[in-house]
Amino acid sequence: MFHLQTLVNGVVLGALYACLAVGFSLVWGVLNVINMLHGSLIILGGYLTFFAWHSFGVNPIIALPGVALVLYIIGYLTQFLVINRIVNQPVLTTLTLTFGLDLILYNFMTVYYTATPVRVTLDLGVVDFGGVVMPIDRLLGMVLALVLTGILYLVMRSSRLGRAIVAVRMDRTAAKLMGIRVHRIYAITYGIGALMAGAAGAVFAMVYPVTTNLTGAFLGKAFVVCVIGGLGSVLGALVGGLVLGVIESFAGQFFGPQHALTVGFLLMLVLLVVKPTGLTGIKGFE
Amino acid sequence: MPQSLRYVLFAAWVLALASTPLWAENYVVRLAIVIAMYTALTLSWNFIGGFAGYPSFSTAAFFGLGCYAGALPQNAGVPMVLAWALATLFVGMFAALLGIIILRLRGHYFAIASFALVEVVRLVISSWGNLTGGGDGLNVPLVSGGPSVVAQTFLGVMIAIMLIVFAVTILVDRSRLGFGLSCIQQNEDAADMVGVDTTRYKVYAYTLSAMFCGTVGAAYASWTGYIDPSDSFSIIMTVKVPVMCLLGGAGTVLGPVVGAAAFLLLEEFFWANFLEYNRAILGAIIVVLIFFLPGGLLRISYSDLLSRTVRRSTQPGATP
Amino acid sequence: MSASILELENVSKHFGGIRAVSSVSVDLREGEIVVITGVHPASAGRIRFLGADVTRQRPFQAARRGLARTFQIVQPFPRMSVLENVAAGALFGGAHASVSDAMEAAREQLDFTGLTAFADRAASALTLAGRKRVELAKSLAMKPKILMLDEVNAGLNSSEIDGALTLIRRVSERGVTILIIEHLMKVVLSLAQRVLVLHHGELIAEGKPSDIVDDPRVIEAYLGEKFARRFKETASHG
Repeated sequence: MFHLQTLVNGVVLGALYACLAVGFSLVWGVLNVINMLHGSLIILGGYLTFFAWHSFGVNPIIALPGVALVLYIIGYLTQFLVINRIVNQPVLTTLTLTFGLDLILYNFMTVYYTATPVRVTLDLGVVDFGGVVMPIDRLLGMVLALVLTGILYLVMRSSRLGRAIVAVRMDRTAAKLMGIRVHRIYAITYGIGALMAGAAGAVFAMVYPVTTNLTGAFLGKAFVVCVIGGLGSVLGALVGGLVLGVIESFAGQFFGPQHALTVGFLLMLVLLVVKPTGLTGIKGFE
Repeated sequence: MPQSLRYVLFAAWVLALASTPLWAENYVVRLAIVIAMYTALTLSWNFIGGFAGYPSFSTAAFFGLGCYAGALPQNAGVPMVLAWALATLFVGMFAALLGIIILRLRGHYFAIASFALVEVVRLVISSWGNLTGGGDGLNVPLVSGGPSVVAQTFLGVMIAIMLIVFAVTILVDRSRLGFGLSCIQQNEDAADMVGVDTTRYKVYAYTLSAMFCGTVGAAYASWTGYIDPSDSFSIIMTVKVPVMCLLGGAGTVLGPVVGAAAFLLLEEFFWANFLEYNRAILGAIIVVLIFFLPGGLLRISYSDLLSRTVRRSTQPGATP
Repeated sequence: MSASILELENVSKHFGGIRAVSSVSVDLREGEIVVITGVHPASAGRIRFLGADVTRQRPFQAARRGLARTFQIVQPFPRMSVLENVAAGALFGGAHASVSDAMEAAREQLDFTGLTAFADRAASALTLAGRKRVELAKSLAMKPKILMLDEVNAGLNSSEIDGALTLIRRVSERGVTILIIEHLMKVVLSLAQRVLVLHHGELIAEGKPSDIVDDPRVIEAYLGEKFARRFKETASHG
């Protein structure tokens, strides 16, 4: 019983992690860019959702598509105007650039929103399933996270856009030769990455308090999920997220909550050395 | 610019820093200490990131380890300078052992692993409360003397460390190791083919990049008298240092010196004048740097720039 | 029984997808030029140099034991000058003690390969033929016991190939043992002192160039059974 609760907690957490990381994984796998803005974009989504709810009374689930759209536009423009210019440069350059952009975004968010934690509180009660207890809002969060991830999966699998993105991920030169406008795909992919980050943030805001202090933590989680699960695919993010969620849950149970994070990072380090392409074995770039 | 002139300018800069207690207020002396400190860190990073071309983000891990590796012996009664030497040794060995494993990775994966190192080490230190004081931090025996004496002492210390790393940089730059690292940076497989033991050289570079961070960390702990995990293992530091090196010119000898100085002076200026938006401005500097100065300040051909400006203004019909 | 200096374990496909593994051992005498032909570049398998498996080891270990290889795809150090590129060979493979010694030795090699005029140019700025010359100079600077040239003429035009051949002959005159993997007949016939012809992974002929040209198995392999029969008939009739 005891362990079942831990497992369920882990799965719920894992679904959130998967949704949180999938945009990051896509950008890294397809553009070969480590998007340091990802954490801030999540928080931005969370803040926008909160303020829609708090100031205008908009139900967060209804606000979600709007927030996602806003973030898509921000992402698309950022890629198109800025990142596209250096997208083929080595790691250090792209990482530093996105870090610089992140500093700007972070600063503006802190000034505009302050660092006070905010949360959309939906008092939905708790569900008890044979001894396993789960607050309904968290359950809702998990469902939403899975739905969003699922929608992205379908888009990647069955739409022309999705196939184009996968083609660019596998071989950008070949994709170019086939008439795919790679730079536009880059912008769209980054836009999708930002969209998913924002959506994840919106979901998160329904379940936990969000604050700009969490940007680093979210970014870190995204890294770990990508390394565990594999880059550039929705499946990888899903696997990675669930594995991380469950491991953190159990590590927290057995070693104490403060060690839950360490275990995650240690696992990531070990995997990096042993199998950098992650559990699903999908390769990013070197 | 001829080499000798560059070294003269460097010497002048060191003198300027060292002499601050004589002509400036405490705040400036403190800034000088920080500049010397970061210059040492940036010169260190240059070995692995500049010479070898491996984008390491481990600076904070080594610095932080150095803080604790220096503080703990001191608390056990070991004399200060000896504690610093021990910290250097410890961090160096740690990096060598770790390097053998993670230097197998390249590009993004190496960058991530080096980043993760910072977090893992921080979390381990935080959790090992009995030894390290955990989240509450650790007190370090203070150096006796009033604030200005302490400041002057540590200014001297940081400058000394900076000079040592600078000297090592020059030695490496002219040596077989430096040549080999350059080969590795430009084409690692070709370097292998030509007879370079790439693993060994990379480990040397990584170790060099780490050990002096340990020294700086240990000295820093003695200077401030108190360290804690979040302060010692700062993500901002671990990203700032490579940026400083890029700004000045990674892989050059003086690049790290110029880059650290320029960055910190700019940062100080913006902190003082635009407190609220100082991070955004820092971010903007970084973005501008990446776009316009891909090789760093030292690799711009100034004569080229000058001739282009002159030519433009003497062309017929050009707007004045 | 002494181990051969160089052993090539060749893995190649027959039509029909059957893999055949055969081992060709090459005993190289000092200073000779041996050409191996009939090998599809992609199918060259394991290489054993002085008993140790070179393809399993790290390349630098073979380099230090005296095996220098050049490849079809040239890999210079792009931002270094031609002189520095060659000095790299002298410093690491050739085990010179200091950077300045290596630079001296490099100048000699540049002189030998006719690249002195390009000493300070960036290696990546040269034409393909020039870059291949730099590779050769770099390999020579490593003071190799055996120089293995793998399809060096890929991408070169006729006159560039002639230039390369002259240079290779001069290298041989210096006493370097050279093993060439090549499919261009012109190169094989004009350069080799000894030729090994492989066909589908098997050694079908070995000997002087003039001998293998008349070898019926070689003719059959290169020109087909029908032609070989007609050739034999014409030869015996006339």
